[in-house]
Amino acid sequence: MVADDTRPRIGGASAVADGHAVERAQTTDEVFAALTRRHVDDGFRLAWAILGDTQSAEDATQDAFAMAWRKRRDLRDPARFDAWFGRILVNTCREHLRRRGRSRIRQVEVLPEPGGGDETLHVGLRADIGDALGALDVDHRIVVVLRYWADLTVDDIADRLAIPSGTVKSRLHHALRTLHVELEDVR
Amino acid sequence: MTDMDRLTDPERRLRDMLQHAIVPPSAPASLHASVDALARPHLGRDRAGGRRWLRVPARPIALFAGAILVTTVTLLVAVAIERRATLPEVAAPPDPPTTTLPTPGPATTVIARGGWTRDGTMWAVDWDGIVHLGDIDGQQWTTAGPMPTNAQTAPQFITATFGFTWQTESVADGETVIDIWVTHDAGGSWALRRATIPTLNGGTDVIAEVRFNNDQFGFLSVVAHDPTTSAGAGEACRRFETHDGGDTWNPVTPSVCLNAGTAWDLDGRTGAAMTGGADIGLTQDAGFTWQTATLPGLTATDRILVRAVGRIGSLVRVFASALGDPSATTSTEPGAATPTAPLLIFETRDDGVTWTRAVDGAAVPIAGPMQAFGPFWLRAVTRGPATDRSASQLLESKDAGATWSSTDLPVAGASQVTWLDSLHGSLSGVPLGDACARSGCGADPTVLFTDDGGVTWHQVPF
Repeated sequence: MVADDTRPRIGGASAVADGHAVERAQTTDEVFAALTRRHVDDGFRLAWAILGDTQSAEDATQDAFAMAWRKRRDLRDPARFDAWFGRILVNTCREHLRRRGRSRIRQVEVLPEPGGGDETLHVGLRADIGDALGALDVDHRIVVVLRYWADLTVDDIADRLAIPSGTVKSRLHHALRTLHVELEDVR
Repeated sequence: MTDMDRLTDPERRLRDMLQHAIVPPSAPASLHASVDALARPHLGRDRAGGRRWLRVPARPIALFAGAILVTTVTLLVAVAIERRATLPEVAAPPDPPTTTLPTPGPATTVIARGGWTRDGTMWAVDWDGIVHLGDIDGQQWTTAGPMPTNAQTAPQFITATFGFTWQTESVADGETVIDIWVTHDAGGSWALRRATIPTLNGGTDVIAEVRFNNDQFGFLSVVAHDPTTSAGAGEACRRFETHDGGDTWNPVTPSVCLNAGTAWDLDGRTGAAMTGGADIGLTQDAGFTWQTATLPGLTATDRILVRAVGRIGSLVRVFASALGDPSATTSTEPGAATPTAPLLIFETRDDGVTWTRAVDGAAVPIAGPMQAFGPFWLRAVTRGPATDRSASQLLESKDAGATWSSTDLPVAGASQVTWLDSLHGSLSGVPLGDACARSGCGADPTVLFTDDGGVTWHQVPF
């Protein structure tokens, strides 16, 4: 068995490893349990990137895994777990964003400043980026995070969101226009 | 990548800003516990009787059993209520004893190596060469059988059923013969796969790495070791691959030789290793293809060892350290302190074609491999003398090595910690050789595991 997907992914479990979990585990539910366990960290990181705070990210990730267990029979090819669960997670994050309303979207946790000099941007700039992302509506924010933080391709984003690639490009175009205005002072 | 996916300069700047600004913390332990809890109701007893969880039966049986259960409980409650009205009050029964895993202590079975498989199960091989396999929580263990060889060189289980081990059979007459045993039935039986490859440097070649990514694809690297120096980066090497489970091994052309072993991201796909001098090899497809480049600011005589590699999106960071004076002997004596070395950090955003050097991390005493959890978060082990528990510590940095915190490890001389994810890790015994392990050396080598990121460690409950 070989992996043919050479493109970097959001992180965490690989198609190779996932394929083996599928191949070797004894029952479907054991396979599914192994897959979910391997994707906790990645799922949480993506949820955090979209939602911007730990509590919401934990809630959304847990909700997504609960949903995944309920829908696990829909996963026909376990090697596709990453994309399949990613769609569930993004949809869950979208619902969380919509529920809590636009005002709170602007709040993005600012983590302690690492001590590595130019290792990361200073806290003020992080806050600016958080504010800029917060100025986007839910759908635009999600495509920006998936495209520029998670480095997904346009087609992959379209797959995750179940929308045409043209719609992804359109949303990115509008989001970039807004972000350029928001980040004008810091660029 | 299509034209549609190529980033413009403003997009690239935005990507760089976002990936540096959005640095998620680790997934909280409560989330891991929640996800495990979601799984438990669905996991039942397997055919071998290894599972201890209750499986929900088929619907008609469940309905019938449920009806019986409800009826029985109703009757019992009714009887209890009636008796309670006539009997005197009695003291409440004591709480049932809490089930806890044993804490580290003298091991009844001395363990050579152990860890997690990609399926989330655990494995261990004791010093008598017996394979033990644990379930997904490491709570229940079964003895699989003996290893196929007395050598304890790098036994490893990739999945719950597939594992391998190897040893160098001979280096003579221009050939290096490596015996590799593989099992496809969880250690029940082993098959020998012998690799015969031409030597590079007479009788001094050493095998830097033997690795299987799955039960078909694997590779090994042989280094033309200069016996007057400590082994490491900078020496000539050659790489061989198998695509048929070890039946045949062929040299890779062009050869990306990995002369000091490969550091891997948790995903098992992204790996990096020095390939000679200042050259580095990077794979992002589990070792099938490699991109080589020269690291900036280094010379061909620098001896760099890649300790860890972490990735997020297109950003790949390599954490390395210099091996020091090439004439020094390798420091493996029981009382040797872990040498301190500055952490060199390099990063690429174009799949390893070009690299830039980031600000160095702090100088830290690191023994063995380090693990990266993305490009900013690192864990490593510093090893103390075999008789001093307090000197072995788990080091952690969440700012790319700029600052470090430490936690004492419960085993002296420990140097092998492997991580399944940020919470679940295993700590293997004392890598000081068979004689020391058997005579004790004041330590208690075993496999410990943690499910809280290294805060607490539990002994494998044999």
